[in-house]
Amino acid sequence: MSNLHREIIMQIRAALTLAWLNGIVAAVRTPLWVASYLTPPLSILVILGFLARKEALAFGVIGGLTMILVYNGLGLMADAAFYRIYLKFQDMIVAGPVRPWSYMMGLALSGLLFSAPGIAVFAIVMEILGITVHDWVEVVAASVLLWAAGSSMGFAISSTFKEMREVWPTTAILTFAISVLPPVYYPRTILPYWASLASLVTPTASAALLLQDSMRIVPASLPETIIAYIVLIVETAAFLVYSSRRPS
Amino acid sequence: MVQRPAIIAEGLSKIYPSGALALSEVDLKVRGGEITTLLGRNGAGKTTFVKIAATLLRPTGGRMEVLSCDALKDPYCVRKKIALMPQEGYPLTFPKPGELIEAYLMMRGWGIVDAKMRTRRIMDETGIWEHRKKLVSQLSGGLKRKVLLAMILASGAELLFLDEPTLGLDPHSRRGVWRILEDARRAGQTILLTTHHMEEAEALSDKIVLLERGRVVIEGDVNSIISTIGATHRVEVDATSVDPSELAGYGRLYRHGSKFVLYADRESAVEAAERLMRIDVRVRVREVGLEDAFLMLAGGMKAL
Repeated sequence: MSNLHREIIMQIRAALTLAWLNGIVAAVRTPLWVASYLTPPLSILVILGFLARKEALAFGVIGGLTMILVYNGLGLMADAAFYRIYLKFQDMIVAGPVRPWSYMMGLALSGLLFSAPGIAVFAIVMEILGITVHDWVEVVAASVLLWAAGSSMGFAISSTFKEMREVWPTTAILTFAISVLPPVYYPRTILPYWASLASLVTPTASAALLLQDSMRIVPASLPETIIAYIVLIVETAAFLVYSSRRPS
Repeated sequence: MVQRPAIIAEGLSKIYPSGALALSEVDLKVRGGEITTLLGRNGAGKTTFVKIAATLLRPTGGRMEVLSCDALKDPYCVRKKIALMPQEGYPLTFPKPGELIEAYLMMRGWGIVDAKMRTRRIMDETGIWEHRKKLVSQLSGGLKRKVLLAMILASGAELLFLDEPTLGLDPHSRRGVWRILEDARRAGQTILLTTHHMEEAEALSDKIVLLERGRVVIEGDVNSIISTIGATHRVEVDATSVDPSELAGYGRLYRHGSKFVLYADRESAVEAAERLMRIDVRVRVREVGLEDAFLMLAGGMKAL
């Protein structure tokens, strides 16, 4: 086995170990955190259920899924800031053989473990509401890319914090700005075309476009689909580069 | 064969974006297999030096070589060989101590069997084993600090950076940590320590480096630093209870806060103390130590 292979295996193992520690061990010890990932999207779904027609519930489900996935990033933002600023855990890990990308990957995977029960709940709701997926590849691609974009965004933003008290208002503002404001819980077709295109700059709107298309709720044109994929990929890469190059 | 120093810093400077000067043209060598202690007042540049050596911070000027790796050009070469206990660091609170130490070792590349064995051994050595069933959140502040130290010591890294490792520990626990650090040195590990406990620096250090406002004021072993005082004894009296002229001629007199401190040889110190006791002044006489050298060299005393 070459040194490069050994190095990659070591880094992946480091990421998986951190994911186990910060995901499974943390979830078992504090299950309330798992439930907390579900509460914002379920709240909106419940309101839609009372106030809107059945068709609107499909948007609620897609919005909920999108919100849970991007909540990974927001959760990671808080964890990464707490571990860096207060515990100095990041310094301990990074001043060692663990590469920064491996550390970020470990935290991002641990967030996914936290949100897995929420994703399962929304899958069951989809089944109950009879929402059919026409393109599973698009669903999986949109979900993975949103998780990656949200996580890298969370890590990048967390690296700018100097104090923990900056974290909580930022989380609240970002939740509104990227999960509620753009067309995640509603069809982008109700916006002027330019606004609907501009909204794709948020990873959540891009992922929601792909998810709505995969369920044939709001079909997307090929250029729109390509733009959504490009936005998700470019934002992930840009945030990762920003996080790994940010000076101390 | 002469062993290459574990750390070589040449002309190392760091100015933070705020304009604060943390290090200024620092030249320093840290020998392998020894405990080197950085001393200095708050803000003297100790933590900045540690962070640059541990590749967490880039200097604004100079060169830093750690374990034969260029810390600025190839930080990962350094990181594979070091472990850091940060100043005011805390362990994650939700795992049990053993889970945390084991996970840390596995992240550093140890296999699961070795990680378990090392974890068990270090928990025994540090007295954490009896608390193995508790969560870290249920441990006292001192034990949490020990968990962090256990992680670093178990890492097997060639060079350990310990930034105030005994902060918040009671005297008994602190001595327990000293024993562990002495064992690590005997095992060939190099330790760069920062502390504000002079007793700790005196007990552990092979070499001491005193930093003041980002510059090295003096470096050497404990005895050579204490010898810069130029006296063997210290006589201390309350400044309100005596006129400083009473102490003139016995040695060098300083004002330190609310005290007068006289540094002199043994005979003169005893003579001065007897004279003061005759006029009912309470005095304290003791041999000089590292703290005296620190106060003198770091500008904590005012000569009279």
